[in-house]
Amino acid sequence: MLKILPTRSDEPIFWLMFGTGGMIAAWVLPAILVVMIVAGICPPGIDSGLLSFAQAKAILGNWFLALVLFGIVFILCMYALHRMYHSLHDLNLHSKIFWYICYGGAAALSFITLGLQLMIYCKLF
Amino acid sequence: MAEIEKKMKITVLRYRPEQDDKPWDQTFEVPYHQGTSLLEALFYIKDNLEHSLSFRWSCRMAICGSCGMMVNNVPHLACKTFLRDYEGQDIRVEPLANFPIERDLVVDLSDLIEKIELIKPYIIPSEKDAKMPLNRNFKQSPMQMEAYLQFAQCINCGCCYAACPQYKLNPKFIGPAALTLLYRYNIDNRDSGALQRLPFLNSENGVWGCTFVGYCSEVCPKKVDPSSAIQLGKKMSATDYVIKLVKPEE
Repeated sequence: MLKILPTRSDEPIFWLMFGTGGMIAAWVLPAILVVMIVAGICPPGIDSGLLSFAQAKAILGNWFLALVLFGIVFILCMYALHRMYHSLHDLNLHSKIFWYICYGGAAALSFITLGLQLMIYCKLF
Repeated sequence: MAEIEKKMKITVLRYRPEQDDKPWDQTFEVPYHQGTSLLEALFYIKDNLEHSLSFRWSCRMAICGSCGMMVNNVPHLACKTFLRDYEGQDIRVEPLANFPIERDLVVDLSDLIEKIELIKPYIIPSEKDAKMPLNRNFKQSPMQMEAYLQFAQCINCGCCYAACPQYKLNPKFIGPAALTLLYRYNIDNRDSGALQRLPFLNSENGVWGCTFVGYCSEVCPKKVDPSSAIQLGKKMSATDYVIKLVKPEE
């Protein structure tokens, strides 16, 4: 039997992000996708009843909403790749490399998002 | 009895350590009727066909948790498994998976027992309560009891360990039944031992070793739902983690 107390796992950080991401994926993401896709495909001059392209672009250009959207995208990346990392474990694929690939991937995707957001904010397109 | 007796082929994995190098299959033909349980079928085999067959049993009514075994590769209690549910098929009985075989259908459950002991599965009273006279009652509201009652139904049969893919990959994983009991005692309002149990809950081999496959809850013969207890345990561990980040001492 174990006599020494086991060390605390740092998994709660990732699990809390995973849990938050799961809730956002279920509640917030569908709404964002519907609004943004409709704004993207609806030609100018036709009122979809949701956002127009210009309004959607204005939202993406607002620093506060851009920050909120970045938070959402970051947590969704963490959510998806955390689950993927643990699914690899279930498939008996254990390696520290997968840890770096999954969480590094989530960080990289978040940085790409941040870059795109900066480009929109600086009116590069 | 007016019922017509039917027959079923039952294959049992045999292993006698003093004679056999490795486990082997033995098939028996067993008569059964509507009410024949697998345990009764094993009694029939032992009484009439193969006297040397070994298996554990005691209560015959899903209370003692002795007769856990793999039936067609799914963990079941033999006493709660009825041959009528397998009509038209053959049954293959093996000892519980993920545990070392001692003899025939008997497995060595000491790892499970040690893990259950490890997490202190008993009420640890607070210092104040411990000084109280023994005849004093501890109050508990129906709601407080409701919180843990389901998790207290565990009979330690080991079916969840045989089902758990994490325990198979990592035998150090504390596992479904023990983690469920840990959670059950930590949320009991009469208990004050949470701090002694939390280190096991918080460890990599505690709740964080679980990836929520959920098969333990599916096979549990007492409907304890260990995977739910482990997810609630993750919430408890995450809360404790955040509190310790803000308030490191204590």
